[in-house]
Amino acid sequence: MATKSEARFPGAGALRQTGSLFALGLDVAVLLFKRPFQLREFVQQCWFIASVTILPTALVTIPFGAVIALQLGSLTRQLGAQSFTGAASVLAIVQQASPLVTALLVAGAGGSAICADIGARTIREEIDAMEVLGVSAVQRLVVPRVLASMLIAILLNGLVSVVGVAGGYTFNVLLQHGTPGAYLASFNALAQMPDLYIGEFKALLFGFIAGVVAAYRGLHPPPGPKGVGDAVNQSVVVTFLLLFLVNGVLTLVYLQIVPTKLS
Amino acid sequence: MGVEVQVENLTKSFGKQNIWRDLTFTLPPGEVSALLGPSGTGKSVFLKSMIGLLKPESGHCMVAGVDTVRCSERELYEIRKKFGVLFQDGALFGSMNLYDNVAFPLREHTRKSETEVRRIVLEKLEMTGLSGAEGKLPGEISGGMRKRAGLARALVLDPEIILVDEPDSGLDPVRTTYISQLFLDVNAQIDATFLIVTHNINLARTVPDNIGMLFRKELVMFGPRELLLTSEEPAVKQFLNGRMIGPIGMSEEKDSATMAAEQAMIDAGHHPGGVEDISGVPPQMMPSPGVPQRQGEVRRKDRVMQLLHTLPEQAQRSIIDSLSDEERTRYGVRERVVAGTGARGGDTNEFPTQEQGTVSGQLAENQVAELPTSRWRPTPGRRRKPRPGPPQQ
Repeated sequence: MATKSEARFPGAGALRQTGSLFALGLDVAVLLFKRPFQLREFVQQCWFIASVTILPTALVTIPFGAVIALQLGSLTRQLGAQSFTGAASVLAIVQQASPLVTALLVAGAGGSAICADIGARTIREEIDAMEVLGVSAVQRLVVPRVLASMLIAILLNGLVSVVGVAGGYTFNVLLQHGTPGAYLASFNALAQMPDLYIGEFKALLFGFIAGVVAAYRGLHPPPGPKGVGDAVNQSVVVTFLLLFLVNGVLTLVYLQIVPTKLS
Repeated sequence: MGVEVQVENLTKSFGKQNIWRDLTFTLPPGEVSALLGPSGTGKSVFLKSMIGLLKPESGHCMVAGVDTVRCSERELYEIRKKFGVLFQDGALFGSMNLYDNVAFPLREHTRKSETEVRRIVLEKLEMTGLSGAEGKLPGEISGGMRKRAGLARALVLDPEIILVDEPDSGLDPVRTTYISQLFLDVNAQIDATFLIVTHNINLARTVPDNIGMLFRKELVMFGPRELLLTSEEPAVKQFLNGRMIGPIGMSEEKDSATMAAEQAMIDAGHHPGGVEDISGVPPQMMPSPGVPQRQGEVRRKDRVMQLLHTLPEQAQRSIIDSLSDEERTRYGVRERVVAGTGARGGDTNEFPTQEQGTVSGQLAENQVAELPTSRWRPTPGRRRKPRPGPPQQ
């Protein structure tokens, strides 16, 4: 009879956690296509995540766009390239800032709520009860939440891009006396459609990561009510770290594959 | 008919800490079994292992031909539809009201229309005394109601095996009896196999057909109720009586120094705990009038009579005493007991034998259990004292 023995070496625990996290991600990906789809849960979760993220996202994005505009504005003025402020700010916001802001907000506001919700259900044995009733908790609870956070991330990404660019425009034109026409005209001097695509793709992936990490920590919280609090905390921190890592990789790959417009 | 559960050499550890090892026993189909044991002996862990929520390191747990320890995820979800599980605090879904909670398994696993779902749900809610509370959220009701709602949800799919984790925790003695009565009625109606994990001695003495006890990481014994209730095993006796004297300590085990110190305390007049001397086999609870007879009980009687010769003497005596005259004829006990019964001056009914007149069907010739040629012989002197004496410690 095979007796399972756990490997013991430094870092084994971290590897095991990583493996379980990926396993859950894979389960979610597979169960995405399993009927019946939990439409009701999905819609509720979409609504919930949207309602907790839209306002904070918009509020965070305005200063974000402004800062980029202000920084770039003073630099480009010294170089005499004021007409390119619009171009640079669009590039920065659409390609980099907006997926990240979106993901941070989805993870911070939506993910933490998902993690707390699932974590509380876990310690109250609701998840066990559901599994015992022959219903997969991953399919029933996790998949709709991950899908919802992906969808909301994509939609929010659009919102953030618009608000960010509008914020940049406002600050550039009103505070730095840039020319509205030049700002608008230079929009597509640097930026191109693939920038938008990669932005949306990043948002999609970040939404997935935020959802899976939150669900994973929620399904395996440390014992006790305090454990749920710790799990929420960890899920947000882990998601942030993963996001920046994935963002770095994606950006590097993207820059290698898609030639920049001016080169 | 309920399913049989065969547990073989099951061993479970959390990290380096062993919970229990080499559990081997069989839950007979359609019978009510109870698992006793001091707190922290892994009774709940055992329940969770049976349904595949926890994975023991070794051993098997065969339920309807599927090993829930090793089978695939898909098989596990299938086999779980045969289970009804009542968790300690009901484990209701906090976001749904009682009606939706009870309807949940029906909506997930059956294609019943909403009217039919409604009929079944209201029936189960009434059965558990929750009529009128279907709109309440689990957070708004008492622990006892949550427990009963959990039971209603566990019963809604007419499971073949029902696992109950501490039905008495959070319930008063009266409600505990009511819920025990409900278990027996359900058992009689759908002939499901029951496993009840409990500390409640009253429940353990009057409800189950079979009793097992976990102690010191092992199954001390498992068998017909008479076996454990008449047992002279110190841990079992101590547990049944709820005393401090015995091998069970505040933490899992006692060392001999503690035992000696406690014995000295008792000798000096300290109360050892427990109210009265609990021994002997009280009559088992019966299904309510109007509910069909429990098939499990009939099968059990045959089974027990077949393995009678393997049981200790006191258990044998208690079983023989509990037989009605008809059953004595059926199992061929009469001839040997006639003399004894005469000599006893008709004190057969010292225990009201609840089985009296309940066996109706005649078994085929070859299925009739024969009283084996055992060590047991009815000696009139012995039979004057059907109750085992006071605990010998």
